[in-house]
Amino acid sequence: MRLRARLIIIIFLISVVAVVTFISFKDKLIPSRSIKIGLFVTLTGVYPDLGRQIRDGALLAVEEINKNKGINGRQVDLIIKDNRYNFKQALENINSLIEEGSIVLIGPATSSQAMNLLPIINEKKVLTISPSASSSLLTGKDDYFIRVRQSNRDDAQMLGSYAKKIGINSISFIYDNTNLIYTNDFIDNFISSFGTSNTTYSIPFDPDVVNFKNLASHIVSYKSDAVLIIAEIYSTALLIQNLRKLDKKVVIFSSPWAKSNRLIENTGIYSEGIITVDSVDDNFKGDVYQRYRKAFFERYGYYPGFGADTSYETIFMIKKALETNPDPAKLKETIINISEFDGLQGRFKIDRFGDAVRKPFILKIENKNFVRIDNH
Amino acid sequence: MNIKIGHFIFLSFSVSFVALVFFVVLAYFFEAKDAITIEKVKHYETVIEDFEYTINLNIKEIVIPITTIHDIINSKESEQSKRKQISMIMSTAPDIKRIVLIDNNDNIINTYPFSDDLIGINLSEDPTVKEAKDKKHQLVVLGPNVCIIDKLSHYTIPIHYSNYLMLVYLSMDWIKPFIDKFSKIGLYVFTIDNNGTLTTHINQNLAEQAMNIKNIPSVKRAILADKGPFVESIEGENYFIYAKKLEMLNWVIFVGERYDKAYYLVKYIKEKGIIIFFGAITTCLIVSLIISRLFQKPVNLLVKEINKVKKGDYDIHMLDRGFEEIKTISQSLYKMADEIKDREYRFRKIFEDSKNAIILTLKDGTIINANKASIDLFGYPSKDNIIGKNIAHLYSSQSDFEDIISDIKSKGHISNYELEFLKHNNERFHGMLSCSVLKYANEKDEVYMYLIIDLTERKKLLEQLIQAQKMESVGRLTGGIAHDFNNLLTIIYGHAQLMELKHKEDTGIMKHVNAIKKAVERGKDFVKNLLAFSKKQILDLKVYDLNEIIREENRLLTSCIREDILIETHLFDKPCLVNIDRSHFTQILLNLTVNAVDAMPNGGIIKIETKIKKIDSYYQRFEPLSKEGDFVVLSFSDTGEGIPQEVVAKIFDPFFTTKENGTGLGLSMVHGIIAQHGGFINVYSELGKGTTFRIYLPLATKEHDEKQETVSVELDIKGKNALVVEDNFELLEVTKEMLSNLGLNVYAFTDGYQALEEFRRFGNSIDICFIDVVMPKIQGFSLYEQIKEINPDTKTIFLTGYTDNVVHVNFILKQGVHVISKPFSRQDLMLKIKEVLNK
Repeated sequence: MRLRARLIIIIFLISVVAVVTFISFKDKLIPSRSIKIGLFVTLTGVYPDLGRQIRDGALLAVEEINKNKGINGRQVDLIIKDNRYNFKQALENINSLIEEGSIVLIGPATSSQAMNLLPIINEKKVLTISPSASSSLLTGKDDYFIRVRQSNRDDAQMLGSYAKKIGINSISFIYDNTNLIYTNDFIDNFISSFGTSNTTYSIPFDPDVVNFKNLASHIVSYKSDAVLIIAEIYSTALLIQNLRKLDKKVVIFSSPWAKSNRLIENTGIYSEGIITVDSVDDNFKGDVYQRYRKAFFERYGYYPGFGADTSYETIFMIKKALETNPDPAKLKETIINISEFDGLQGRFKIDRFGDAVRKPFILKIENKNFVRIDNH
Repeated sequence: MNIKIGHFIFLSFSVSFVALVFFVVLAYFFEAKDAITIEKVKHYETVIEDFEYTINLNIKEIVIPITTIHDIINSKESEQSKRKQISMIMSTAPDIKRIVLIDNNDNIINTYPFSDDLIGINLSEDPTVKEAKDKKHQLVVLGPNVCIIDKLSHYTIPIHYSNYLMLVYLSMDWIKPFIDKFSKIGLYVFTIDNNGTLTTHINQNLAEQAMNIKNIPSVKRAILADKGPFVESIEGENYFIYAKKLEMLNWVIFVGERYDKAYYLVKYIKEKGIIIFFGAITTCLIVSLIISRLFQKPVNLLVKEINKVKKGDYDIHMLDRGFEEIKTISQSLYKMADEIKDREYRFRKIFEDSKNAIILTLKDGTIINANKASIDLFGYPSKDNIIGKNIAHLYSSQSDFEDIISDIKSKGHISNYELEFLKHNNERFHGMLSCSVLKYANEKDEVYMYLIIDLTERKKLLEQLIQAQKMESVGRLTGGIAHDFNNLLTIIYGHAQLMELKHKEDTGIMKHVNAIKKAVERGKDFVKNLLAFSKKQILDLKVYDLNEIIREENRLLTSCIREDILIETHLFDKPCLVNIDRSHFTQILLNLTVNAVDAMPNGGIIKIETKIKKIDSYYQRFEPLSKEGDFVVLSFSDTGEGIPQEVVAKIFDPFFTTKENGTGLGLSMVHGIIAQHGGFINVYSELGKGTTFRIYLPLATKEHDEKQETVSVELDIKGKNALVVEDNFELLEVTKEMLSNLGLNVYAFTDGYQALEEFRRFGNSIDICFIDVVMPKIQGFSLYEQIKEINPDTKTIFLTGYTDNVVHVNFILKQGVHVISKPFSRQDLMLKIKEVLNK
């Protein structure tokens, strides 16, 4: 046998072995090309619900995207960090996510945390998108912070207008004083549409120390036409129950902060008639939304709230931007340039400051459901 | 597809070995994997059983104080006292975080520790309460759910009493040490609730964050009561896990290990398997190479030997080692080579030794081989000088080459084309060309085989044959002329003699008679020469030693030559016996000498040489008139001017002469005489060098007795009766008168049968008969035989001027019968009669 022929056979066999080896160790030999998206929200401790919803909505979107060949053929890797309702921890998480190669961050859940972290975010020049922070103090700024939820201004003014419309003349603002960035902003905007000529009462409370029975008695004593509660779900629920025990007919408005099925679960027989505002209608019949809602329930065993909805939309917004321009450094410009995105219940806009433009609507709990008032 | 045996063996062994190693490793891999799976599952089941037992035990221990609390609640003690007692109990049970009592309307009626803003809170929509109502009769742990009271995530044990539902909010932190314990022994453990949300995890953070992992397929299946085992990728790591539902907690527990760890042995086999695989491949390649060499080497040697045979080297070596089959092939090859060698040798011999030129060319005419005959024929110094040339160079005309190639292409072959060829020295010659096209299966090009026969000799022979035929025809013609002329001369001569007898004294008449006689004598010589050429003269054949005759005639010949000419004789050392007519042979020598003298005006040497030569069939091919047998060769050479080639062809023609006063009968007579003696003559002449005549005469066996019979002429013949038979009337008359004149009584007949009739009547009185040999009705010899039958003592003389059949005459002579040649004199006649009657 000639040397050449032997050489060919030997090379062939070695090639076969090399290919087999390469396939076996492919994952170790080729570094990951996934797109990393960091998520930092509060998942443990007091009131972890919003953070968990944001996480679950984002995770569902990532799973769906990865199942459909990823973004530009690359898989998406969602790195989740727990802020533990703690600024220091949130800061650590931001650094850690940047180090781990995240091209964009999702979080935090609350406006207060957002306000505190904003200088750091701008300093780090890392694009951060919050699905839920909505204080209007965060709007109108050309920074590295994008909000997917409409601002308080829109929600509060819509709610204020509605209160005015239904003839409320006096109203008590019961608000959580641990998130004043949000609550004060909400009240200010509510009043701007409700009218300064009407009587308003401001009653702040600290959820860690408050006695809701006493607080309810105090509120009732003002005998205002309505009560606007600006607090998270559980405080809102306890307050509503205590108020309704005292006055079953009291008109109760709730900020969208507590707009969740958990509110219905925790207000028991007293949930009927609670009025709130949101840009998401749980009864929306559109295919996209219904498919999403069904998938979400099957995945997590509960129905999504607004945090889950907007975080889901956030991931798809990032997808579209990266598909338009894969350069992560240009992500913010790309999002702003695209401007309009498909949401779960129709298109929404991101303005030049990175603020979401959505039209909220009034919702009322009827038969354990949030129902759009303008549907009636 | 052509596959070499070495390749095939190497490939098949390599693939087989590699496949064998691969499958062995694979089989061991799967076997080990199955065994490990069974063992691991058993181990995990044990771990889960222990865990569940411990959990259940703990929960049962946790709820033991609940009964006491229930009793306290239902006691009639003050509310303050109850709270104090319950607070004390709860302080001893740190896992119980809160106790909430709800009435049938799902309103909170009391809480421990007490919180008045919770009283009356409606929990009808609370998921825990709803679930608790569904599981009234069993001890279960529900949750975790965020509790409205402290907004913290709690597990809940619902206990149903007749007047309320007690919700015991628990901390499940006590589970952590168990989980940690698993972690310490290297197990990967986590639990999930019915929604797939982590409840415990070795990374407790994940559980605290209520991470939902239902997206993991095995989790989804485990919720539906599939135990596994599963191989699952969790957070980028592969795990081998086993699942089981924990009834009391309504959780699913997963116990497992990192896949690599669980299947350490398998991993080891996989890792080592690759090394083994590589090692095996290397070994396989080496072993396969060795084995393929074992097979390939003898095959290569065989191929080498076959190639030697292919190149014509038949000296091959027989393999005496290795596989039996290879040895058998080698032996067969050896025998085959031997046979091919023999066959090749024969064919080569035929090719090389062929007397005809064989030339092999390519289609374009390039000569690729030529045999020795062709080298000789075309006069090339060696084979190398002709190979590579184009055969077109061998033709005298380029158009011939083109025509031939065209014919070959159209017909596929050509046969017996007579062409003119060109030798290496540009000499032209005639040859006969045949060509056939050889098509070899493994040759791309066709090979043309040319066969060229040299026609030079054949043409020469043909010319000789034509010459011989011409001579024969002329001979016949001259014979006929001589016969009639002879009869006329006989008549004239006879009458002249008769006139001489009658007018002996008349000088005037005698003067004319003598003139007539002289003219007749010249006529006789002329006829004699004609007869000699036409081989129709009567020969007096006797056996002589040619050497002796030449010695004797040397004096005669010397007298014929000039002083500037010398005669050399080189005679054979043995007697050269020939049966010849001496006088005719002398005539030959004289004629040749005269010619030689004429050819050497400036003097020279005449060389006469004798020898004995055997003529065989091969020689006959070049001398068609020759006969097989032993011949005496007389070479007669001069050193004269030589004869031009065109003259040589006509030299023996009668009346052809280059001399002013020549008769043109000299050499033609020589040719005729020799031919009549059963011999032949050829001539070789070279201009400026001289001419050689070679006379071939059959070698005779015994020497002639030269003793001469003495003839008495004194016999008286007068009164004798003579019978004359001659078909020519004038001749009969003159003969009759001549015999009458001699005193004989003559009975003359022109018709043989009339003569025979007369002889029957008077036969006894007839003393002598004169019979013409050739007669129209009855031949002379036939008449003679019949006369002999009538009277055997009758003497007979045959009269002959010539004969068509000299052999016949010679036969007559051998019978003892006498012959007298026409024209004869009265004296000749008288002498012959006396000679016959004296016998």
